[in-house]
Amino acid sequence: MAETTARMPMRIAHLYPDLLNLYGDRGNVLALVRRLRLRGFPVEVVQVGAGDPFDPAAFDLAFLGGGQDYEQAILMDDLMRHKAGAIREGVDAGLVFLCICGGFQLMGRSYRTWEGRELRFLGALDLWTVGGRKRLIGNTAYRSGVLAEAGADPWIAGFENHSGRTYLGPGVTPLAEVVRGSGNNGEDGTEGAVHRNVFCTYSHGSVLPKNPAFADLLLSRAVARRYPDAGPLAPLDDAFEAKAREAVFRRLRVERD
Amino acid sequence: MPSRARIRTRTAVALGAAVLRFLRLVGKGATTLPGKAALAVDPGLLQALAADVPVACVTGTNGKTTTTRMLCAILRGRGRTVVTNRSGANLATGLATTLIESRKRLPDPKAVVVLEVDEAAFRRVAGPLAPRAAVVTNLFRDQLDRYGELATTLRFLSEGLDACGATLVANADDSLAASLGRGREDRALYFGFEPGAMLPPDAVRATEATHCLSCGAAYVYAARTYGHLGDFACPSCGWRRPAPSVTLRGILAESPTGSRAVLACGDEALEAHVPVPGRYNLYNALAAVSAAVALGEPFAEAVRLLPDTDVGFGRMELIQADDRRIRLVLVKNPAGFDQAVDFLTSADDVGGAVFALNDGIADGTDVSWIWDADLERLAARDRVPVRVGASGTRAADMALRLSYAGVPGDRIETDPDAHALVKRMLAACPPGSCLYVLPTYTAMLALRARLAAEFGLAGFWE
Ligand SMILES: [Zn+2]
Repeated sequence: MAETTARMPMRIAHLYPDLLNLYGDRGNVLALVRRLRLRGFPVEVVQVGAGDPFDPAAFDLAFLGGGQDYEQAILMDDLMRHKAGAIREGVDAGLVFLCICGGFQLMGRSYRTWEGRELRFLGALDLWTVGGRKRLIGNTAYRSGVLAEAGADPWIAGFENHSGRTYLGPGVTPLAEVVRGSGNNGEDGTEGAVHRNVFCTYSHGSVLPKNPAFADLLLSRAVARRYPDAGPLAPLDDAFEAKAREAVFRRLRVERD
Repeated sequence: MPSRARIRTRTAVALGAAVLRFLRLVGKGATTLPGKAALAVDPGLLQALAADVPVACVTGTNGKTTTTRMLCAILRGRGRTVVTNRSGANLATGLATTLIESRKRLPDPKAVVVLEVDEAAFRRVAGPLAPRAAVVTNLFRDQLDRYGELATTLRFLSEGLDACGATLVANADDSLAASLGRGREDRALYFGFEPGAMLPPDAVRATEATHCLSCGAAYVYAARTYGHLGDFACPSCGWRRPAPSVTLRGILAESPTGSRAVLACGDEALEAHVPVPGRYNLYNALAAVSAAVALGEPFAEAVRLLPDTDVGFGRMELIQADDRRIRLVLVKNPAGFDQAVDFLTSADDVGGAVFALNDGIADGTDVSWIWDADLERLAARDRVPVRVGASGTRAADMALRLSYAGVPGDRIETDPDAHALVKRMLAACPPGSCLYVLPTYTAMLALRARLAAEFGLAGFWE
C-alpha cells in the first residue's frame, strides 16, 4: 500500500479523556488506532479536554466515553457551553462518533435523575435517559441489525454496567437487539443507538477490541468519508479477537445463527 | 450475676469457636463462617470482644495486607501480643472470626489488635471496634461493579471515621485519601514522599482523580510518584497536599528483595530496609511506621523493625520450586497492574510470565480494567519475557490484551487452567530463573493452594 504512506493521518478526537475514561474505555481508542495502523493509515489521536476547542471538521472520528457521576458533573458546564454546538454540527456533517455508556446518555436530550431532577443533555440524538436504582451489570450478547445490513458478523460480545435506562425516539435506530443482558433499559430489548454516523452502546471497555466487525464498520465509514476511492478495508488476522468473543458467547450459552 | 448481653456474647463466642474447631478439623481455612454464626447470635459481638484492647484498622484500595503485616511485625518486635486477621478475610464476619479465635489472648495487657478492613465494611465496624488508629493507604478505582464509584467509597470511609475517634493515618500524596483529613485536622497524621523524592510530573500517566474534589478544577502537580499520587494542588480553591509528618526523603537502592530508603519524622531521619520490592511497598512501609507512631511507638523503633515483616501470601511471595523460582504478584486494579509490570520489567531474572485473570465477585466481574493498565511497556523491545502465559476464567481476554500490548502472538500461550500453565511454563524456564505470575485474587487463591501442596507452603490462615 505504497500510496497510503503519503496520506495525511486519520485524526481521532478523544473527548474528555481525563474525565470520561471509566471501565477500560482506553481499549476502544487502542482498537481504532491499531486497526488503522495495521492497514497502513497513519493515525493521530488528539485529546480534547475541558477548555480545549473542538472543531469537528478537523477529525475523522470522535470518541466519547463514560465517567463517574462526580467527574461527569465537572465537565457538564464545558460540554454544554463550549462543545455542544460543535458536536451537533459534527453529527449533522456525518462525522463518525463512538459514544459509550455515559457518552451515549450525554448525546441524548435529557437525563432524569432518580430523585426526579431533570438535566438537559446535548440533544444531538433523539433519545433520553432515566436514572434507575439498581445497576444493570454483567456480560452481554447482542445481535446487530446495523452490522448485518453492512454484511458483517452481526454478533457483539460485551459487558454492561449502568444505572441509567435509555429510551429511543423515532429519530434513531437501535444498534442491536439484546440476546443476553439488559441493554438500553431492560424492558424493550434494544441496545445502543445509531443515527447517521453516530454509534452509541452501553457495552463499554473492550467492546471494539473484542468485536472487530463493529470496529471496522466505524473505520470504514470514517475512511470512506476521507478517501471516497479507498475501497473496502483489508482483512486482518483476528484470531485472538475471535477467541475472546467465543469465550463470552460460550459462557452465555448463546446459540448463533 | 452476668447480664443478659454478656450471656448472649458468651453463647455467640462458644458457637463460633465450635464451628471453627469443626472446620479446622476437616482441614478448611474457616476464615468467615465462625464469625458469621456468632454474629447471628450476638450482633454486638465485635464491640464486646474488642472493648478492652487497643485496635488499629488498615483500609484503602491497595496495600492493606502488606501494611497490616508490616505493622504487626513492628508491634511484635516491641513485645506486644498481636492479634490480626492473617487470612485477609476483611469483612465483619472475618474480623469476628479472628477475635473469636484469639479470644484467650485479648485480656493480655500487652495485646493489640491489627485488622485489615474492607473499605465498605469499615463504615459498620469502626463504631463497634473503636480503633485508636485507622490507616487509609490510598484510593484507586477498584471493582467498580461492587461499590459504584470512588465518591461512594470515600463516603463509607468518612462515615466510619465519624463513628469512632481513631487517629486517621492517611496518605498525603493521594488527593482522595488525604481529603478524609479535612475537618479532622486535629486527629489526622499524614505520610508521604517528600517532593524531592518524587518523579517529574510528566513522567507518570495518571487518569484517575484528576480534578479537585471540592471545586472541580484540574489539579496541578509539582511532582508525582505513581498513579494519581503526588504533590498536588488545586489552582482554584487552594486545597493541596497536606504536609505529611512521616516522610520518605529518598530512595537509596531497589532490588528484587526489597528497597533501602531514608524515612523521616520530625528532625529524625533514618535508613530503612523495606523487605518487599516495588515502589508502592515504600508507601506501605510509610503507612505502617506512621500507624505505629500513632499507637505510641517510637519512630526509630518502628523503622528498625520493618525488616521483620513476613510478606502476605501472594503479594510478592517467592516460592522456591526446585532449581527455579515462582514469584506471585497479586494484581487487582490498573494502578496495581502498572506497578507489577514495572517490577517485572525491571527484574533481571525473568524466565517467563503468566497473567491469570479471573472474573469472580472478589476479582471484579468486569475485566475491562485490563485495558486501563499500561501493558504496552511490557512489550518494549528486550523487555518481553521469552514466553508469556494468559490464564484464568478470562484467559482469552487476557491473551487479546497482551497481543494488543505488542507481545508477538506466537509467544502468547493461552490456557484457562492456571496451575497447568504455570507448571508447563516453569519447566520451560531456564534453571535459576524466575517465573513471574500475576494473578487476580481468586486466581491467586486457587493457584497458591495447588503450589502450597506441591512445594510445602503454609496454609493461608496460618
Ligand atoms: Zn479546588
